[in-house]
Amino acid sequence: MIQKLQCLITALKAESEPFIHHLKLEKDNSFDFPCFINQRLNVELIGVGVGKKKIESRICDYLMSKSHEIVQFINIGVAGGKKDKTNIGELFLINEIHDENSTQKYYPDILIDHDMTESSITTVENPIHDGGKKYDTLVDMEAHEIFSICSKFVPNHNIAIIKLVSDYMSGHESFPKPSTVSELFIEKMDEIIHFINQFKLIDKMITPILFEKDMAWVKNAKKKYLLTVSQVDQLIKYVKGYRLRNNENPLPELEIQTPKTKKNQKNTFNFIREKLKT
Amino acid sequence: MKNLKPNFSHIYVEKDAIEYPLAKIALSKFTGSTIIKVDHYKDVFNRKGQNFQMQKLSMKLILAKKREPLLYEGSGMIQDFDTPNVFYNTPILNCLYNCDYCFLQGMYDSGNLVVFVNEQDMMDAIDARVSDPKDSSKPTVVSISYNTDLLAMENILPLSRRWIDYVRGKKDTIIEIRTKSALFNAISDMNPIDNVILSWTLSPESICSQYEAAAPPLKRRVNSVKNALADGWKVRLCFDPIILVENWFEIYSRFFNELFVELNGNQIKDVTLGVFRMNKDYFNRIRKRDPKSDIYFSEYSIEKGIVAVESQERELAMNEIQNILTDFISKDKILIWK
Repeated sequence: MIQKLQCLITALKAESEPFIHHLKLEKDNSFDFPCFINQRLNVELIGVGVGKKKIESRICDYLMSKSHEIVQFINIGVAGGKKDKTNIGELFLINEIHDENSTQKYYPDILIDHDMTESSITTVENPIHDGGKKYDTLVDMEAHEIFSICSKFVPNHNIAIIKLVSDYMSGHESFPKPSTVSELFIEKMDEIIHFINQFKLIDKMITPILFEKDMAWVKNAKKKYLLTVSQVDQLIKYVKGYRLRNNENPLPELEIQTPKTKKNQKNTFNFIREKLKT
Repeated sequence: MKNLKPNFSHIYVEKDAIEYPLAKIALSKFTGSTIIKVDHYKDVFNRKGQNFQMQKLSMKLILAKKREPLLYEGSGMIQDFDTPNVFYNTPILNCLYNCDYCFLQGMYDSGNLVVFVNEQDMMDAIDARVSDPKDSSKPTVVSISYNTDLLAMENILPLSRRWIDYVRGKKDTIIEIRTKSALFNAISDMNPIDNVILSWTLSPESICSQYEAAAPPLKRRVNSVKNALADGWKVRLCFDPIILVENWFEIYSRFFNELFVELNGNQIKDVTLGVFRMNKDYFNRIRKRDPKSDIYFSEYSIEKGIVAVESQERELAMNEIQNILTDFISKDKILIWK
């Protein structure tokens, strides 16, 4: 069974708390940064702090501890919006990511149907206080770095960036209190959770060719017939061909003797190969 | 699929391409799509971390301007057309259909479609080449549907129509539009011309349903062929690739016998034949991605960088297929990739 995991990435405590509460996440003390998990739901959350500096190390540390084959990353956080184009509390799915200091742009794959408005975003180094005159997009301090790091580890379709407009970039005093930020997320919780659940379905669309029992058959054949590494590689290809031609039919029974000589071993492998061609 | 965005939910358009008429047509057809302006189509099409088959579930459209090269030398993968002046171009990259055996899934990282909107530049490139041919006694043949299925897109963008209009009256230039579509009716109001070859790839229905699942079923393709022939178009039939499945001889014999009840072989310009073959690098790239097709887990030989059915087996198969076909079409009209 392939283990699939969703990892939410937040910057502020006020962003993470509504999700910790809603998803019943529990603190994982094995990390020296905020990490919360719910093993039953296969959902986890890590805090990366404000700005870019800790994003790479925290995502890398997090992934090093995971044995899951598929991880989806969902960055959920606040962003500054243009006063004439956005409303406080409005939710956006990001389809284009700029960085004020880089020519590298990212375009997340948006395959899942959703009801959010889409927007581009620009990641900046320092908070903007002039209303965002220079920017025609949402503005945040993490999205570009998060996408840059996560895309080194997982395919684009497994990364999503969701932003909620918290302010109009008009100065420190206009940035809402943490409790207000949390309330804004709580208001949008159903919408975000719906997206997260839909997003999870993407990886159900990719199923491996071989079942667990097929891999066990290969392992057994390798041991019993003393197959070389290269023969095992070839065998897996033949087994895949067999599986695709034979739906769920079991792999053939191999009632042959363990080979005693090198020549005998080659003949045995050829025999298995012929059996799998049906 | 229910919880996926529909095809072309997003249109990425190069800033330099947006004012071209074809771009405007595309944008007017998909008014509900999200439009994202990009500097260069490769920023989207050539991104790292894409999954071709996943993107095929919700294809996006990319509108771009084709830069040099605008015309390519003919590929060694295609049959010999009795002229050295064989070229192809790429009005579109990628295809709506996504057939199992298609090399495009190994050629590109992206399953999305790129439409080049500056078709006049591509036409000018052909004119320049025709004026300086390798062999001036022979026409120049250009496949305009090599990396796509152009006619399949006709209800979205009138590309085949524009290319047919372009070549009208150009006696030294022949264009081939290869397709699996059933959309002949999208161009059936046009007068047929001798220097356009409409080529239909046809396979037995069992092969269509197993390996060409997203393409129209055989019957609809055959209807399009019949209508094109009735209107006086030059039609090529492409039995390519012939897939050597179990009982392939019986399957293809029955297929040809039934097909040429519907079609008059004398009306067909020619037919092309070939077994499954693919550039080795593309083949290996596809196989690494665990495709759900047994084609990639069968045995082949590798000859000059091409993965193909082993030469003796394919020659035998091609000879047998040719023998069946000569009951319906003269041998000199059968072009074989051996």
